[in-house]
Amino acid sequence: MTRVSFEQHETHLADGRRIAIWTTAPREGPVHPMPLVVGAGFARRMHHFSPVAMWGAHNGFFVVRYDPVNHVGISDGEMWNFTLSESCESLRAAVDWTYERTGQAVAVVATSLTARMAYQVAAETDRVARVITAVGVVHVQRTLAKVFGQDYATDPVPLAVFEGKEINGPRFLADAHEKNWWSLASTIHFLQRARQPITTFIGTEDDWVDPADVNAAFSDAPGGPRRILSLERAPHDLSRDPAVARTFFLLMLEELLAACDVTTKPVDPPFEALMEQSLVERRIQRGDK
Amino acid sequence: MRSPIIVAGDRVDATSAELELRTRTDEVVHVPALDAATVDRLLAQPRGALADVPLHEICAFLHNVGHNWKSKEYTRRRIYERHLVRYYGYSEKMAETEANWIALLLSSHYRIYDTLSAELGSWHMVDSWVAREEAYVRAMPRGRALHIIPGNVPLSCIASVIRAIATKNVSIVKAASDDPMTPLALALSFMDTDPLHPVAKALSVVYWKGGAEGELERRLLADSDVVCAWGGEAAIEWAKRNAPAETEVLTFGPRRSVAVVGKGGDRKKAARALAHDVAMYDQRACFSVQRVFVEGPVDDFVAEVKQAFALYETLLPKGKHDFDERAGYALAHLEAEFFGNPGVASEQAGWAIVVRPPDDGDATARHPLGRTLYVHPVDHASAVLDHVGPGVQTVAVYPSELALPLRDALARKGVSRIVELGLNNVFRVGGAHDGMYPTQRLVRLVSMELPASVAVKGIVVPIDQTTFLEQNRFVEFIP
Amino acid sequence: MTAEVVRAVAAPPVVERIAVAATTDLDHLIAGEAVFATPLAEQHAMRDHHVRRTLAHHLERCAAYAAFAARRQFTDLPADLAAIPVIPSSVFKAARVLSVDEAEIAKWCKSSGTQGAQSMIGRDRTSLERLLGSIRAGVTLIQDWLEDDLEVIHLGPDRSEAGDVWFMYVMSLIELLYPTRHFVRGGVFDAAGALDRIRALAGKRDRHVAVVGPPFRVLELIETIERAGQPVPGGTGMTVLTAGGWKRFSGQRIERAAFDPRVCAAFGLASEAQVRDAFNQVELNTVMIECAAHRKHVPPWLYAAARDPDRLTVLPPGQVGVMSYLDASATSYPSFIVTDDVGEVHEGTCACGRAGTTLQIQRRLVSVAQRGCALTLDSGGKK
Repeated sequence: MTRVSFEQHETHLADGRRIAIWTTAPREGPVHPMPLVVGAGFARRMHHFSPVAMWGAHNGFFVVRYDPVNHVGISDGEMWNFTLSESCESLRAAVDWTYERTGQAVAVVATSLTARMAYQVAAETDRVARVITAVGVVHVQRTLAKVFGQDYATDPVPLAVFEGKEINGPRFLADAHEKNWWSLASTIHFLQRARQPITTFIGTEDDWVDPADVNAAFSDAPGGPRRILSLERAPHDLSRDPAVARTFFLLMLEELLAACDVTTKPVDPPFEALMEQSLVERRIQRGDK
Repeated sequence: MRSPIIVAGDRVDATSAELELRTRTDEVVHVPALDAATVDRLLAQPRGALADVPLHEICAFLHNVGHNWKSKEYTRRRIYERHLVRYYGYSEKMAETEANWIALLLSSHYRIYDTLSAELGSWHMVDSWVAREEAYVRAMPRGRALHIIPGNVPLSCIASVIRAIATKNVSIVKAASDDPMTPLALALSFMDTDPLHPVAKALSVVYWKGGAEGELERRLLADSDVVCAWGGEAAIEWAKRNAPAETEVLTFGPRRSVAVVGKGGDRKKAARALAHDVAMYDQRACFSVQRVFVEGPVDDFVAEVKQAFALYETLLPKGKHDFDERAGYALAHLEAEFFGNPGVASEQAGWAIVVRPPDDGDATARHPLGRTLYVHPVDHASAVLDHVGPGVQTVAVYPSELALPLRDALARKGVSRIVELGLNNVFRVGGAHDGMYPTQRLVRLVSMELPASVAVKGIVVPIDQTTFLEQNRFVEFIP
Repeated sequence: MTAEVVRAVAAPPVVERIAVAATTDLDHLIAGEAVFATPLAEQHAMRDHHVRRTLAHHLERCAAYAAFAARRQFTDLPADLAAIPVIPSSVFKAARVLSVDEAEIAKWCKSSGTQGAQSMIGRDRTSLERLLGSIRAGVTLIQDWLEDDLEVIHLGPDRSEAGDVWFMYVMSLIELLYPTRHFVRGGVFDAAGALDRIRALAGKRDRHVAVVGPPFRVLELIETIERAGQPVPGGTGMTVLTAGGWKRFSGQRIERAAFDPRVCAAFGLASEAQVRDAFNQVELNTVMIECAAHRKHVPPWLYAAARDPDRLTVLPPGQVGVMSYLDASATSYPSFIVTDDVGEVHEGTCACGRAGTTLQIQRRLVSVAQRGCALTLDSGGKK
């Protein structure tokens, strides 16, 4: 019998588009008063973050995941119409849903590109109590130029292809320019306004995020307490090396538990429970879309 | 080498296909494969071909064949011994001993009569009707016997075929890939003696790859009246699973054997007897002693056993072992070493003696064979009872009187034979084989019962059941 | 804290910077993208390093192995790999041999038991994760598919039905990497269902299809296709990956030289390079997958050697012997084993172009007991 409960829910953007939400929580025992909202990275789905949810739930946290609209996953819309703003709105909707359901400010755990949205949402609402990011992007233009091998900000294309998925170039670029998503300065702007503690984990073998950019973003008149943890020999995809992933989970949980005044050390969920949950979630994803 | 098959006493050098066997000495033997036409011929042979041949005639024929085998100049025997050395890896002494045993089994006509008498009650029963209380009984052959022969003990083929012939069944022998020579040599020696003799015509020898049985093999099995399945579990399982419900399936093995040496007696003699029972067939037989439970301190006894083993290196030098056997031996010894159990061994891996407590299950659970003896010191011989069960065929005891206090408990544990140490391979007339009298299972008993005019024992009037019912007098006749 | 804080740098009051040793050399290697792409000498150096480190771990943590090594008078450190004591895999049928506390075992893994008793191997989280890593690395020898590039038709049960039986469990893990449908339910193989799905996917051609299963199930599928007389139009978009061996269906065994053309014909594959085999056994913590040249590549954390049948000493590459492994990836038990398989290893540049060690398994050893009627296992002894 698994020690966590798993539920499927949904919320909606103001325009009515549906956002799928999964929750994972301890089946018994106290639940810490700081729910976690997990923002998956670009082109990643909720099931890829099953371990984050399981580690969180096994350590007493109510964990919420969501798929953004116009993205891969089981929320409304297709990847073709992806924009950074809609991704940000999706995170905000997940934070609001969690806050309204629990009455508690949340910790956002965001990876890669979604980290950029997390900094912005933290600056905009006190429903976010804390932010932890992993391989978090701070300079969108530079990271995307590395990913695609071409700077679409200055050299636009009709469509971009990432891991076999096509994205409508003009729509994406128009949003990115109009809403000022590109620059490091825009990230610093939100990091200066965000009063919450923010921790970021960087990977020393991350080809897509430059540690110098992260240092610059976190060090320039920060709005609150900041930590930068450098995971040695970690690639951009932290899950690729399970030892790296586990180090990240345990350090993240140490901080979150301390934030909840819990002094016990974080624990690992049983390996078989992780496998089982992962397969359950994969099957849900595969069946729906 | 190119080897023939035998179909109902006829030599067949080629069929529509050929199989290549690789023997344990890594020699290649080509054998005609079973094909549909061969199976048709095999099945066309009448099941009752020997039914009317008197037992005297059968025994005389076998005796003549045996006499040929007794001669060391008999060409068939010389070829056979050479083949055992070349293809089977036997030492010359082992090959010679095996040929002697073949001669003995075939020549011992009294042994055939006595075995039938011991197992059926009377050898006459296979020839005619024998009075048994209120009936005359005749043992009819079941018909066609299929022998699935193992590669570990050549002699088991001879024993299996003699039993079938003595009970007047016709036989199809499926030779083992390790030993295609023995059944073939037997059939050819029948043909040497008299190719037209019904006994020669009652024997066929074929080959197929064990584990790869298909439709043709299933046809043979389906048309057999009795199956003698020897050896590895796979062969036995195939026969059991696929034989028709009405077919009698006799299974021999797989089993293991142990020895018990008590305090009394001559330990040097015990060691020599033990060495014999370990050396015969290099422990490949189900009756081979794998472990010995020794009362009292064992150091002196182990020293005697070492000497005896060394002696047997000259009396019956160990045969050649193939890659897999050698690897199995090395792996099993390494496993024993992992569990803290190195033992002593001869320089050339000719034999090994390992002394371990009897309860050291993990260390000695997997026996490497190849003349490896596990010696278990025990306070009392009865300790063997904790280590035997239905998987044990023979318990060899020394001195022989040790059998008396142990036999009831051993029987209850499920063992099949209790013998004096040194006689494991002898199989005395009247002895059971794997819990049965095999010739009983090779015949179909038919009874002709006494007529109504003969009163039932204990009832003084002739049987007239209608009258009994009419007069309601049944109860009066109940003794 | 589980990770080691190796360096703390003074910083302005509100920005704390910490460097964390997030992984180990070996985990980093297994998770790396160039497992099979380094020169042979470099692979050997890595292998020797990792095996020796793991040896030290087992000597320290596994009393049974340490005692065995002492009995074998093994003292040389750093060790010549060929001299490191190997445990017969049969030992795991008789005893539970561990290098960690039993509480750390995440899964007890059972051999399928084609011959007699079953091995029981205790794996901790690290060993299991590294095993998964070896599958991920091995699959790159076929192609480095992204998750959505591939759909797997698994001719076996899913993880819950596979239970503890190792080869079925390992194969079911493919679902953690790629979308997978399983076609054994309640122990019954749904060949028609699998074939329907394969045909449907072959028709769509929007992703690669991998048919994964033990060879006897692939054969059953081939026979189903042959009876229907209509090959699957697999083309270049399909791979057939066998694993697990013939098990109790060894009587149906078909040699690769005949098997691959039949697979190609039935599935309409463009090349025999699209038929691959994978190798593992419960006592081994690494899964090896064939390259296009049908060689199983040995990753640089594993020492594979054939041994002579008499003394079990290591044979030079190219000679047939009893297969043995020193697998550095297992932490919870010493995966330093000599097995019941006969095979050979090769070193150098494979026909696929990669440098490294490759191995070919030829067959299982046939025990004396399997051939004759001498029972060698002390089974019914204490009834």
